[in-house]
Amino acid sequence: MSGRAGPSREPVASSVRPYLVSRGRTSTGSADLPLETLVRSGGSAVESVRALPRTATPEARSMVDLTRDRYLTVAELSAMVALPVPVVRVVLDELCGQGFVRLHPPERAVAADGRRVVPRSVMQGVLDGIAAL
Amino acid sequence: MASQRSEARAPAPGPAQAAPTGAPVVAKVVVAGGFAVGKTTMIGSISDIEPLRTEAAMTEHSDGIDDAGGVSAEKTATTVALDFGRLALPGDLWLYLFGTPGQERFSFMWDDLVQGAIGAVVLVDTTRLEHCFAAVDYFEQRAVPFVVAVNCFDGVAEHELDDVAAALGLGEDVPLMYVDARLKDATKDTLVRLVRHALELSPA
Repeated sequence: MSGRAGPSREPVASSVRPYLVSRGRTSTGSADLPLETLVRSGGSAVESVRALPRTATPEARSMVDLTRDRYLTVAELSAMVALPVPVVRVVLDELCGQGFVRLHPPERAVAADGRRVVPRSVMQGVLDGIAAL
Repeated sequence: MASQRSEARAPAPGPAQAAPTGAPVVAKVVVAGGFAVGKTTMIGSISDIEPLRTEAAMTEHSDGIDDAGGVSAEKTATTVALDFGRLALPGDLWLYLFGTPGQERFSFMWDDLVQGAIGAVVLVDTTRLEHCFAAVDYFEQRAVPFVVAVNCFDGVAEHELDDVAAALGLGEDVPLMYVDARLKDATKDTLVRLVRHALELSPA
């Protein structure tokens, strides 16, 4: 987790660009962060996007900014900041570690065989909700 | 139901209740099928928002011969574009609908997408039935609850459902239906069938 963010800003091809945002890191402890994990900024540490370190990328700032007044999923954030999901995960992992965002993974129940599954209550809520449309 | 245990730090909320954190409850379903079969159309027919596009992680399978002359099944992580929509339901419940990547390549592993999904709709165009074989195989192998929806453009069914079931080798318990993916009511009925089916199969 060396965050050696050199100030050099060479022009780069667009396919490389996303991985500059995550400073070249592609895997993370949040690698299994589901696409539908909810993100909300304003965690314990800081309420203002201005308190982000100066080294924070514009994309990281956007993610904090976009989730200040509402919940957004990892997938939505990825679409809104136009970065691939794996890159968004890395940035969110860092922002979460610093207390800038809170992550709410989807609820899971544990089946008899130990598998983590969608709780019946959630499925029933979805069924009732759709059926009433 | 009584033995249900939530891994969330907060106590498990009751049915269709907001979590104590105030965060909405999220759930997702996957819409799979061949290229241009109408996945994004189906998602858009019921989504509250215009379908969004993102690039998600997929594992790509490439079977080949390695340097030692052996057969290798290499897996490489890659990102591919996929579309998704969102539907807000009563009780602060958000349902996400994710389309599988549209490429006509079936070497992708959709684990990232399918993990934690209630289940999947396999959308079928009977003129290109073979395009959905990989999706059916995938969900069967991973025991993901799925239904098969035969897309009828212009409301015309070209094939009997029994014939489609036979051609796909579907198990008798797999729900099979016609759908017009452009219509909200038809998509709604398909999703109702899927979630009912998933509840029947749910071990929790």
